[in-house]
Amino acid sequence: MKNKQILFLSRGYIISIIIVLVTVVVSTVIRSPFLTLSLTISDIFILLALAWDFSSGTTNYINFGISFFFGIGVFATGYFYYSFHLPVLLLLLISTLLGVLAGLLFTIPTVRVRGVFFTLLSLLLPLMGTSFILAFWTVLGMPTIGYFNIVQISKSPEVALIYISIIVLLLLTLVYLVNSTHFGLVLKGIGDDENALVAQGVDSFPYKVVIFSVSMGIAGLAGAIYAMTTTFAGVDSFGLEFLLYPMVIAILGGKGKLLGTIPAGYLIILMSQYLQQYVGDLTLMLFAALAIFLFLFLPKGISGWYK
Amino acid sequence: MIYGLLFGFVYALISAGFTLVFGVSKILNLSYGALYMTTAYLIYYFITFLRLPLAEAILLSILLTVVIGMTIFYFVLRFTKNANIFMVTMLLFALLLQYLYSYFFGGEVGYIIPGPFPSASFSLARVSVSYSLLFSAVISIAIVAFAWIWIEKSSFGRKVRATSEDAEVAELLGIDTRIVAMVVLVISILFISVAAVLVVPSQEVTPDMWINPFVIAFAVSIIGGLGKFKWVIPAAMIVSFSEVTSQYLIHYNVSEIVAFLIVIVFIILFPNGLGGRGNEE
Repeated sequence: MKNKQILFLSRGYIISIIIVLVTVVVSTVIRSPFLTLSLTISDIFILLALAWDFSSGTTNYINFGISFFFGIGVFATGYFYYSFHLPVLLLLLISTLLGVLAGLLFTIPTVRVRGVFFTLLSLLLPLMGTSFILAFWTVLGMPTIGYFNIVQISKSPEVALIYISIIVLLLLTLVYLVNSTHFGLVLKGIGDDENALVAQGVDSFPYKVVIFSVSMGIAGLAGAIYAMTTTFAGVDSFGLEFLLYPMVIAILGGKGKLLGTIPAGYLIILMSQYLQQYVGDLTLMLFAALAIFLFLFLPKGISGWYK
Repeated sequence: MIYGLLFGFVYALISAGFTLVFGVSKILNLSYGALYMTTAYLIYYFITFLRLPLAEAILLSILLTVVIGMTIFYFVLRFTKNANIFMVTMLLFALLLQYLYSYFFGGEVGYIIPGPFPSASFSLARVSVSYSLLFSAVISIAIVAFAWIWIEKSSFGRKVRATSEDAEVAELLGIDTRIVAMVVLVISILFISVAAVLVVPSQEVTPDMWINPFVIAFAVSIIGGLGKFKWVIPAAMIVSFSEVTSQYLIHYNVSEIVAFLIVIVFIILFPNGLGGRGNEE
């Protein structure tokens, strides 16, 4: 039984890798700028969904704060590029570290409270994120509209996509490895029954702090990549769609099942990118409706059917 | 200081419904802020497109908001009993409404529609902003006080209190808790809807306007203790005074951060809110 489980997971892992490789090949062969951009954005949202699922899907601590840390990543990239003209790698690193740091600051006081309260506190972050940043920025005297012409990962979008795909695959592997260790087991324990876990003598607090900070770091990284892809960092990046899409992807891919994330991510984001062409702003509405449908009728996602 | 006091009354009205519903159903209605926005858009729609007189528009909007709010609530409740899924779905409904309005009424998400409310709509609003604020504050405090007395004194109010203390025992005692929950839900939506009627004329109608009242309702409810109705007014005072003071002393944008910090401090120090100690056994 246990072997079967591992086999299933590793098959999903291989399929995910193949899908990512296929997208890279397709983009280099077809060389359509729109397709490449869509795939890049899919990758960014997949990173966000991975971050969300990594922490919230396994531990069942629903975290709405992800879009806020994404926004921090975007802004940090803009700020550090403009002020110090740092190279790409350093920018990625800084955004990730800032995400982790902000995640720590947020998590340490709040993660002690359970269930509803944590969810609500994390919801306050994205709701107030814009005014947070605006307040800090205006007090510090920075431009509030945003930063333009941020450095790109690579001049050619296809090459950039290759780099981003590598990042996605690395993180996927990391998440996959973590989930199969003792650490991952504790996380699942938190999700299943935290009281039972604590009764067994496991202090869940440090686990929660680490997992949330790491996933916030991933969100920051995704933000940095987003800023470099669009070459613009503005207040827009705190929008709630950066919460909506990752959640839809994670739920469609199966909550706590990280490997469904990749196919679900490409499906959702490519669909929305193409829909955007035809129906414009209606897309977001359609996806909010889709999310409601998924949450109510299909809470187990794709891998729920698969089993 | 006077602003703090007046805003505090309005905040109490905004938050009362939120905390009341949690008390009875132990469920957080995350679409709460969106209903506030719904009322605002409906009034706007009735006035500009259907050219209804203001009183009619307001009444119709409040009525429709109650219907919409009830429909969403029971639709979601019909399909899930899981509190987490319920919350997420309600939030998604709030987002759905936001995107819906931004699609039909104006531009992209986050785009600000200039204030569509005719200034003549409120005779007091034209004289001075503080008059309209005074007016809203008086109405708010009247409604909240009336609801408070009603909950404390009437027999139905006793049922509400019994349900919010222990739903199962209340059920055993012959109280139909579903009806209690439904009535409370209607009342809560009425509250937020009336609050929208009072507050919105001094603001703009935008697709993301639901966030602010939602944050207020949330902060007040946490500080007062979720579901503890009598602590709503003091908690609303704390929030409004701290916001006004920080706006005055530091910077206009800081107020929300201050509210957020207060909420975090309260959640750690008094997880049950101001009213928490009395109820612990």
